[in-house]
Amino acid sequence: MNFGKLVKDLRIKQRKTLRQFCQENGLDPSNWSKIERNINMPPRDEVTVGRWAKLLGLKPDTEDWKDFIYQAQISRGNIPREVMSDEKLMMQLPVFLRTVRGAELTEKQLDDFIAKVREAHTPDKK
Amino acid sequence: MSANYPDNENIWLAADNFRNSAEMSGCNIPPIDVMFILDVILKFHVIDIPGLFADLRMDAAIVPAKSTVYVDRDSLESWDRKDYWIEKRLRFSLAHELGHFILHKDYMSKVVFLNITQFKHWIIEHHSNDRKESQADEFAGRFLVPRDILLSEYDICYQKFRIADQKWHEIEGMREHIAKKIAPRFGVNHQVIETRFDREDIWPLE
Repeated sequence: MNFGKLVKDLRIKQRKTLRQFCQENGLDPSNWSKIERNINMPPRDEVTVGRWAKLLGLKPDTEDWKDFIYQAQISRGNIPREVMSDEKLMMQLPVFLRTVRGAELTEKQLDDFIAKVREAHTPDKK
Repeated sequence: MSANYPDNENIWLAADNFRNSAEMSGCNIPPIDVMFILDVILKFHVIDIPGLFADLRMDAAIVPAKSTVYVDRDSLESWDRKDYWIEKRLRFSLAHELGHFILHKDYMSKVVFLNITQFKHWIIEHHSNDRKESQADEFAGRFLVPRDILLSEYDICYQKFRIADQKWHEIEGMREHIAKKIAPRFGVNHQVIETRFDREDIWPLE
């Protein structure tokens, strides 16, 4: 299991949406979504990772806790840092775009949309 | 059922079956929390996109093969701040995307783009005139407004207003008035209720 999936599974175990979870714990939903999708790396310091583990319902010094810290460390080395390629981007584009009142879409608007989708799948610059 | 062109009866059946499925137990009472269903039940990645509505007049878009739904960031933030108007709009938009997932998943997985130019051409050609959009709308309406609950809400109004005036149905603006009274029960705009009145032959538009 990768770290992002582990984080997401633990949140879902709490029966909370990403937005609920972030709102309750003062986290940024966009960043958290990238953590769950293995796009952004978990932080380097163990204090923050430990805080996350606690927020996700893990008890300190249990096997699950240790595994969480370990998975965070591993994922730091495994997550690619580059901007998403066109080839991978193609698979992330929706087939249907429903606009309010059927407003027409222009090529320029679609270019902007594609750029935003790419950004959503690209690690944040630190 | 034809995968590409299900009729309303089949769309309603798909909406009812999904709403009443075992996995939906505990979260199928209106107002239905579609965000919870997509995120927690179906485990979709809910990805916020800045300016999706402001720039493109779009609330959401789904990619079933990647278990991903893109949602307008501003709308999500408004929803977080308990903006009821936005919540109603987003609930319907997410249910519409859920409709694409339930009704058109197979079709969508067959559409493959080789490059960005091809994607743009496809979207421009298919946008706004594809029947699948109205099918997803029909799914959303039925999914969010279960017929049995709508009928019982309607019946309460019927009993109440009939006492005051036998011809209350014919009073101008009454249909909209009743729809506005009922809509909060389902967390949707009153137009959604009026559409259900019409489509399900409960109170058709004359």
